[in-house]
Amino acid sequence: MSHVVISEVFITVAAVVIISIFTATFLGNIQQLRDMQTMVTKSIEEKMSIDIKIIFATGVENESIVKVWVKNIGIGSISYDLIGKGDLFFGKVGNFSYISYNSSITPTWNFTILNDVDGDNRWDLGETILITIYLDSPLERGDYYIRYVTYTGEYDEYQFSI
Amino acid sequence: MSGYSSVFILAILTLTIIPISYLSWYNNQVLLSSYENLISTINERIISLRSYSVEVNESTIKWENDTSLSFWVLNSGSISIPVRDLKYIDLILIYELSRGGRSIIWIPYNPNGIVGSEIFWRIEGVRVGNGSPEIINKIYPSPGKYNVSPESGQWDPGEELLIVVYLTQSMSANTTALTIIVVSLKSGATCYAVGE
Repeated sequence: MSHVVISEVFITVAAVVIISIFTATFLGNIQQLRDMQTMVTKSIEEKMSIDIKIIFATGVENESIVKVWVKNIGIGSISYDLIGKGDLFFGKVGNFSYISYNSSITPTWNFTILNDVDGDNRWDLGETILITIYLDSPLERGDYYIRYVTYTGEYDEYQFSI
Repeated sequence: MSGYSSVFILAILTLTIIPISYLSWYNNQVLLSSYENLISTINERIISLRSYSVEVNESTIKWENDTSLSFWVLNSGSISIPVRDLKYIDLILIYELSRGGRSIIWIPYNPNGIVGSEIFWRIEGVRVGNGSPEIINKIYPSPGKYNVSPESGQWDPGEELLIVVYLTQSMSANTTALTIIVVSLKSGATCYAVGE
């Protein structure tokens, strides 16, 4: 009889241990899977929610200023500080270079939010910023290229001729 | 004892299965919600890319005088644009100044603008494609002009808006020179037009 009791205790303990291991492994894996999937979908969503379009850009011959109007057509908004974290490339087609933001040395660029409809100082959906590029030499006749890249890596490019 | 042991194991199994089931259900809900948000984002992007379109009727671009320019703009897309979204429309004007030189200027939408003292644009007329007045979602966009408040209505597909740009005297135009107009909707749908 005591053998029977001991073996039942062993079986019970073994069952508890096996169930605990199974539970820990199963729940751990589910948790990992959930976190991974959530991260992936959030990343895709964020990537898609930030989108921009250069609607117009132009300059005048013999002047050293280029104006670029860029619209936020994504769902997400971009804070004022992060607009400056974007990258701007400008130059003649096939010979453009990186322009640094808000530098004391030309070429450089800065921006203003033109229609901050809700006054939150953020670049929201449908709002437009004016990027002004200050060059180190006047514009000549030719074809010019602009690319603005947001902090998330989304970009748009534009060409114009003067 | 053997009977108790079975009951005990069954109880442990039950107590284990219930939280596992709950946590699985909870995790599924989180995942479903995250997928739902993603699909909603994708849908919104597709709608905004495909459904909005705008066209400036170039033949109607006309300088009324050296500080006032008018033209008709058609909603050539398939979605109505609420009047409250007109403030998101970008209007960029490139023209020759009467004092010489070229002006490249972004004009703000201001239905209550004061003519002569500020630069702005507003809506001063609505018609459908064949020239008849609009019937549905009537637009009252410019309280300053029509003494109607608040602004209301929708710019429906097929309807044309009469946009009038007002400049100040210091920015007056040489009305005989070429004028370039850029109109861009909230969605980014953009149209370029040239008037002479």
